[in-house]
Amino acid sequence: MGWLRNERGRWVGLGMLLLLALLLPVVLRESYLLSVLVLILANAQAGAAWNLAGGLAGQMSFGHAAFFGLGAYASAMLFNAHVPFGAMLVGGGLAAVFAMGIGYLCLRIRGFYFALATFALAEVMRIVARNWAGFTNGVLGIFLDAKTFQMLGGWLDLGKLSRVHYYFFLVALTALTVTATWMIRRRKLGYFFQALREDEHAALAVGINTTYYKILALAISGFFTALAGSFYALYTQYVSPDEVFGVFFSVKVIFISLVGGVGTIWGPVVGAVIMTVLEEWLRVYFPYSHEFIYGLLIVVVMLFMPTGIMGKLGEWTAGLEGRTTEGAVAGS
Amino acid sequence: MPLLEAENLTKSFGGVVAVQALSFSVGEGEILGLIGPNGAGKTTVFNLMTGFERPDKGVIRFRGMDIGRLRPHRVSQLGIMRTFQITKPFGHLTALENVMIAALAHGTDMAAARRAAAQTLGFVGMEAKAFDPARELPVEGQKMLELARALVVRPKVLLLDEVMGGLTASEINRVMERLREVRQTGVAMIIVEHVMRAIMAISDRVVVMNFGQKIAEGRPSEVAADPQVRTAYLGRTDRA
Repeated sequence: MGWLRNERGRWVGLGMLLLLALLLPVVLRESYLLSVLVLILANAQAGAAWNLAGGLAGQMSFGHAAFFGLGAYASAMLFNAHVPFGAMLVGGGLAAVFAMGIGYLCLRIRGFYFALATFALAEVMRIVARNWAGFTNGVLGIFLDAKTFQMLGGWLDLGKLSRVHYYFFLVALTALTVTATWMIRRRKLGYFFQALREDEHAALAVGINTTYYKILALAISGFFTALAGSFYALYTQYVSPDEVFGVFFSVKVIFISLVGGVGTIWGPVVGAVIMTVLEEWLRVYFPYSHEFIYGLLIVVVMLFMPTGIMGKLGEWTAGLEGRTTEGAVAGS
Repeated sequence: MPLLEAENLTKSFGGVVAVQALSFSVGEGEILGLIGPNGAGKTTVFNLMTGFERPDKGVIRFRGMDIGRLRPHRVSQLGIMRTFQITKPFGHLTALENVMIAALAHGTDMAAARRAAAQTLGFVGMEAKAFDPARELPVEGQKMLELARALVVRPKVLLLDEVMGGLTASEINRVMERLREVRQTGVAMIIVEHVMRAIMAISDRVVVMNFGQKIAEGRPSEVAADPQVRTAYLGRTDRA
């Protein structure tokens, strides 16, 4: 695993991965496998978005569906109001502001209680979306207007976009989210997030404004999660309260991060590959009990690999890590 | 003018008065020992001085400025650094990263923070442990890490809560030597310590607390001879 710890080896590996991701659709074309790939990427991106707050900054949110749903609804509504462009960013911005509100409300709540509070807030959003029929069309949900698709028909017909196009877009979105994690993690901001996660009192004592960074972590994470929601709306062309504000999303993004490795850069990607493939495979071979087995496997992973797969990898290669970084510092 | 002073400080939790009408001060380059039996209120004093608790009454001044209402990170930014008696490392991060974070929080850039952290770890004798995860350090190591996190920002005032607990005699000597070096640069220190040998040797002045109140203040030798202090520590001996 030495090459993984080597800076240049890492870049080469990364480039090859990206190249592979871009070449795969050429081979796969429109197929079931491509749709699984889209699922994997969507899960990886959403997991990485959660990981920014939940993993890196230790803000264990159980209510990321609130951000996902906000992004999805904002996009759907703007789209139907014939404002397709920038809908994603507007959704993201809305969710970021909403996340700041949540962060402010939940400032004094930690750990388990924070998880409960965020869960409750997401449920409130779902119930509002179900019942505010005049604004959200209630439980019927919103279909994206085909007219808007055609309106753009001149030079870009969104209605004719194939799964391959969406796939490429997702590759970019996932790369963006993972890169954001990577950039944040190795900078000041990432260290402050981690300090917040490790010990809030110690973080305060060394001079970190924990209030500010807690809210910031949620805002960044909420923004990227809303992008996931926006993509979902455009991809499925339909949003409904239970689908986008439902607890399943909140739970899924946590498990993806946990299985892959909380707080790591590649954890959510690895987690998404494993969880998605597993889910699809179980669905085929255990059609009536796949959810049960899925849950059971998560319990097993948590019991034997509490730090996730990337965490385990890190432990195995820890010796190498120490030696290489030590050398780097001695040289500086 | 003293660097840091407390005037008439009072704090109670429910019905229990933890600190009562306590006044003291510490000047540049001065080492003030704060001693007293367990539960005397020493850690509460630290929490009050660093913004972790709000005083019910009284004033805390740093260079004449009232800091009693500031949040902990603002106090830290002023250069008033504390350590925790029950160590609070950033457990999953390395010792070096722990110290770097303190430097970063005080506005140092990444490269300089790394250098300063490595240097400070060396200063407290932890250079060999720089790449160990903090949670894997023994208690003594974590105490030195607390000290390094406070020292790396070049503090004006240091509040040390039992940093010598669990150290061997030679390690205590080395820490004391280091603290004297730091004092030479004008840093004021308030030290809570149960290692009497150390605190009596290093303090310029000692404040003795019992049940939240100051019962004695003076040079270490004076305080050690004070009958009230002897009673607080040893129990009443005159009736034996």
